[in-house]
Amino acid sequence: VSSVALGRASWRHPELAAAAVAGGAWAVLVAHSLQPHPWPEPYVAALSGWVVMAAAMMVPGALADVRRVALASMWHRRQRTIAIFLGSYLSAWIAFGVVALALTGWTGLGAGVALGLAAAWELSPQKWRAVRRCHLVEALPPRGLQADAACGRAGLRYGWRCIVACWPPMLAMAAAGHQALALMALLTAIVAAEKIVVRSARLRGPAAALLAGAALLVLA
Amino acid sequence: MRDTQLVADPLIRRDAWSLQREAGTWHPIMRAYALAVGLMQQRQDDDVTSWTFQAEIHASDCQHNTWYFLPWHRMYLYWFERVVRAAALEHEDVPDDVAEQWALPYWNYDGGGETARLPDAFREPKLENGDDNPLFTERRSPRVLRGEPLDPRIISSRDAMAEGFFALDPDPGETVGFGGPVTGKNHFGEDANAAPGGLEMTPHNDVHVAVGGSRGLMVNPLTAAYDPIFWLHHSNVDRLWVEWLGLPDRENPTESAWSGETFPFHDEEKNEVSSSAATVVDLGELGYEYEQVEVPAILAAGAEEGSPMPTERPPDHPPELVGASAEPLSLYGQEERVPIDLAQPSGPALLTDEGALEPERVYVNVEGVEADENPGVVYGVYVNLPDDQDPGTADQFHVGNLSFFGVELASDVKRDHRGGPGLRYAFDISGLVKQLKDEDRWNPGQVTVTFSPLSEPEVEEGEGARPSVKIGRVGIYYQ
Repeated sequence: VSSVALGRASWRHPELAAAAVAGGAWAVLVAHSLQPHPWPEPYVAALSGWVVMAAAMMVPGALADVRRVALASMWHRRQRTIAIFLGSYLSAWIAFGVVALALTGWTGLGAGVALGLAAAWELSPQKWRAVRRCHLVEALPPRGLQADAACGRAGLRYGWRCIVACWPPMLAMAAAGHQALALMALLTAIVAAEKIVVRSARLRGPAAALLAGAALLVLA
Repeated sequence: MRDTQLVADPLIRRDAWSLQREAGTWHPIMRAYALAVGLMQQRQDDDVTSWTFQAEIHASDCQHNTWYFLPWHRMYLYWFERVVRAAALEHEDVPDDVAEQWALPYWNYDGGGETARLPDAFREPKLENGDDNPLFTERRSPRVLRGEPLDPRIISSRDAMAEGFFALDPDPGETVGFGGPVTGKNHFGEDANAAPGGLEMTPHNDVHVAVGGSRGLMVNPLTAAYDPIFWLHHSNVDRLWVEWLGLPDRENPTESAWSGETFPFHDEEKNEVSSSAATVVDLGELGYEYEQVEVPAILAAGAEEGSPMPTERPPDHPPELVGASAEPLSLYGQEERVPIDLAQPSGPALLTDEGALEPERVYVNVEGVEADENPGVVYGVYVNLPDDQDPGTADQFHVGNLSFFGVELASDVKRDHRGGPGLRYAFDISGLVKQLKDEDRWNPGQVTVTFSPLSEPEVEEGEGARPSVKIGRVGIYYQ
């Protein structure tokens, strides 16, 4: 019965698979924090952790848009659409991670300073225009390579807009590392709420206060 | 809500054309409206009872593409009517008995004969005494100002009346009901479900655009309520809601999310007030009624038989896309035919072990509609219009209209936004598809959607290139 119910639920919510990816990423990060495995080289460790962290933090806020894109695709292409869209979306975040990890490594920029930047960014109109642009995912062609290519471009564009919206908190995570689970949970909640809640610009004050508080805690 | 203006009998919102037939252009009720509007226009902009303040409420707070569309505009009209009545009482040239009983007239453009023309009180530049007429503005379509009638396809509420449900909670592809989709508060594009309901599309949106033309007040939600005819248009839309409720099995939503959501306004004493759908669903409580409320005969006689659209709830599974245009297209005022290849449904709801099932519903979706400004052209949407047929004589293939009201706001990232880019319109073409199948004229492999302007675009003096509207995709969904 449960598999039938799950199957019916997936008719209306094809994004369940994407939610499972995010859940799996969280499980990996929690497991890794409990039993850390040594990596041969710190940057590789940080980058590997970043890839999992990007999936854990950035997929939850994208689920509603992923659902809409999938439901507007042909049925047999729904999961393919989700895979291409999320793949290119996360590729953008991985590219950001490569730069952010290098930057924080070379400059010694700490998570506290980056969280302070994030608090200030919350109060800028550019941040909120970028959040709104995230949702402007255009309708895709129906079939073939043309659909795949358009979907890939849409995912990259979506990723770029999300980077503009959320780069300071993710810079903080690049500095803090993927084992800072409490900070990761806080930032995921803020980032996801800002993308999901209607008229989310109302959250700018509380979000800025939370980020400033986190910055002070880290700097203390 | 009537406690501050208690009257024994309900006020009657009169038909603007019946007023004109009764006492000419300047019937006392219309004259009182003109003088009260003139008084409000003289007030400071920050006075909540000024014309500017009242019009700006629409610019900043109006609810469109949502199930709050009808109740919000009823609230808006109710408080506006009280402000105008108070202004009429204040004006020394309005007789007290007229002012005390004054209620907002309505423009029933679909009343037959001359009613499709703008009433004369809105076309005369001067009042009887030679003063400027506050009800007149040149910022309307030249056609409308010349007294030409609106196209009958623009003003008909027949398709809207055939909608069986006030609101639906749609998945991508589905239509959204008579009054609009289940959403949170939605100015234009904040909610991912945002799309206009049947009545909002036609006649509401279409009349806005046809009256406004390319440069008028009515064509843009930010300026629409500055045109005095706006209020009579919405009075008629409100009246059509009453008519719809008179049809068999029609009812308002019962969800508290609809009835309990509150919206702020001001009364004629400048007090802050708030209203919700629960406080405006009963016209008796509000203290007004309409001069004429008719249940459309064809629907009243046999709601199912005469209805061009189904009145059962849609199937309990999401629609699936079976074909779409591969490239965006632009409309500049020309006719555009969009051939769409259709595939067999591939989802488990319609493709079972026994083979492909016939869809209960077929929808045309026009998605990702964007423009920097509304070009002021209403397009008819046709499905499988024969190549040699003039759209003007092709009602059989006409499935609805596109007028793009609010298109300039729908992708504006300076405003809150959660939907896709631009506007979405959905048309239920199940009835037409069934008919074409019965006549053996339905090709399951291809459909053609035609957009045809319902009137020749009118180029105004000094006007440059006509703005275009971009349509992201035209999709066909089965359910």
